[in-house]
Amino acid sequence: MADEPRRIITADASKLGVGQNIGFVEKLIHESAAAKQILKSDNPEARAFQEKAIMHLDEARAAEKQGNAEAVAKALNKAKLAIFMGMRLVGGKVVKDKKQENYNKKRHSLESLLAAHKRIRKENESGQDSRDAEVETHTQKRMQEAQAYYDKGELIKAGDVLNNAYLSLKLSLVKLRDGKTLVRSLHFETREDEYRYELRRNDTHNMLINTVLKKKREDPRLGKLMDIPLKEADKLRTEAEQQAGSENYEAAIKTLEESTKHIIRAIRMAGIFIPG
Amino acid sequence: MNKRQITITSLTLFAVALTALMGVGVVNAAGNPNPFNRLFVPPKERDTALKNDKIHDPSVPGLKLLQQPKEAFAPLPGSIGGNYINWVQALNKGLIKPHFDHLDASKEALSMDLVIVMEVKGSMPNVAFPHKEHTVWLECTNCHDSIFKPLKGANPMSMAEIMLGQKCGVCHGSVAFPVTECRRCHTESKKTAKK
Ligand code: HEC
Ligand code: HEC
Ligand code: HEC
Repeated sequence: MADEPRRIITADASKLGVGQNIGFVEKLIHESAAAKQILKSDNPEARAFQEKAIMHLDEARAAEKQGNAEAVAKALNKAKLAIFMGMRLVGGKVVKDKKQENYNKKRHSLESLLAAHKRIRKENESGQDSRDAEVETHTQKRMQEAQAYYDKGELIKAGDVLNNAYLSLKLSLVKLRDGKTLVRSLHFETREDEYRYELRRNDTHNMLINTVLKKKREDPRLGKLMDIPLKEADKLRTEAEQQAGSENYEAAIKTLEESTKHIIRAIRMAGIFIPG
Repeated sequence: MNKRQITITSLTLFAVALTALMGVGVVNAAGNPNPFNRLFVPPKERDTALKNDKIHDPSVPGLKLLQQPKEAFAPLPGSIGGNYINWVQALNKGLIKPHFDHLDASKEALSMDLVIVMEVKGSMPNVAFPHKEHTVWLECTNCHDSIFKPLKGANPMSMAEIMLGQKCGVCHGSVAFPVTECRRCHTESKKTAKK
């Protein structure tokens, strides 16, 4: 009774499905990233699984020639299973590498945050709190502990210990810095430094024209209008570079400031309001 | 006001994209301007349909079962760039409740209210970098110290670098609001900046 529909399915499979399937498994065994990983690895077990997969793939090809779709499907399944087993073996290495990488990254982060903690505690001369210093010794101890696990290859434990150290250090840093505002003030050691800054500021505005406003500038009417201040800006920039060339930075800065103003004009024409 | 709470898959995507960026963003960014340009799409050309987002595989039939961003984002406060949502407000208003730790739903963010004001020459307002708005989503280790050394002034940066996907641009323009929203970073008018 169920014979008819099943035959239809099998016939279908032998015509298109299976052909594609063989190609897919072939890629999986020979060309996939995991297959290459197996080839590169020095893991004989994984290689053996790959060989086994190739053998089953050959069986599938032979079965296809005989038109035995069922045997093709069976052999392909065995091939897939074998290659997956192989991948699992080298996959472990990938996971391990990732864990090592995460550990080392986190350790690096922790070192920098610990240094910040030490610096801030010392700067905080008023209101010294002995617990703050304790956090630092605690963190250092935990980091050593984590490293010992890491050296023994116990990566999960190493990661956990490091994470705990991070959480307590974070808590302490938040306590030290919460509610503060720090200012990174702008001052230039030399006129030349200020000139370099102005060059950057000029670049920034030019970049806006060439990225965000690219489409607008392609509009023929608006583009023409924008060209007027932009040409002037270009001219002034060249002039500034010449002034800087003869070490007249004072004048070069002024000229660049003017140049940037013209670019800002063009940016505003295109509909982005930026102060300046 | 709509207080519906939404589980948005894109928040998970956010985390995935972020980890991907941590690895490659800095290296690839300078040579390739496309990634940073990604969120500069003008509203008219924007297509949020999952099948066209280049993240989901359009040939997977199950895609139809997923909620479309247009529907999911509808009740959230809007913005002028990126994916046109103001995620800071969405979070502050309690309209979304992202898990801080994808492995542990009970874990809450421990945020830190530390502001670093960065003075800018000219009439452009100063930049105020708020730790608070970042640490509600991110761990300190996301930035320190692979992107920024935790030391005031130790990380010189320019707008050009940011637009090319470095420094703040590692995230802004890819997984956070793009650089076109000048006023969200350049918030501190010259007079109010405290010394
Ligand atoms: C994601 C945050 C962010 C956004 C958005 C942003 N900026 Fe900036 N901007 C900064 C930072 C950080 C600096 C560097 C401050 C410093 O010098 O320490 C900066 C510096 C600048 C400078 C001066 C130095 C330079 O390199 O040019 C200008 C001009 C500037 N921005 C313009 C803009 C304009 C125009 C926009 C919008 C199109 C914008 N910025 C959007 C963060 C931002
Ligand atoms: C989105 C990125 C980002 C995250 C996340 C972040 N920071 Fe920062 N942090 C910065 C930037 C940018 C600076 C300013 C550096 C500069 O001025 O060059 C900074 C500066 C600092 C400083 C130095 C300023 C000072 O107080 O002396 C400390 C300490 C610091 N961060 C701690 C933390 C801690 C603790 C966390 C987690 C609770 C954290 N940061 C999370 C970006 C970040
Ligand atoms: C590791 C990723 C990351 C980096 C690096 C980063 N940000 Fe952000 N930033 C975010 C996220 C995520 C948000 C919140 C989501 C959003 O608004 O898109 C945010 C929000 C902000 C906000 C809050 C805006 C508001 O409306 O309240 C400001 C301001 C900001 N960032 C400035 C900066 C500046 C300046 C830098 C560089 C010094 C920087 N960010 C670097 C991820 C980052």
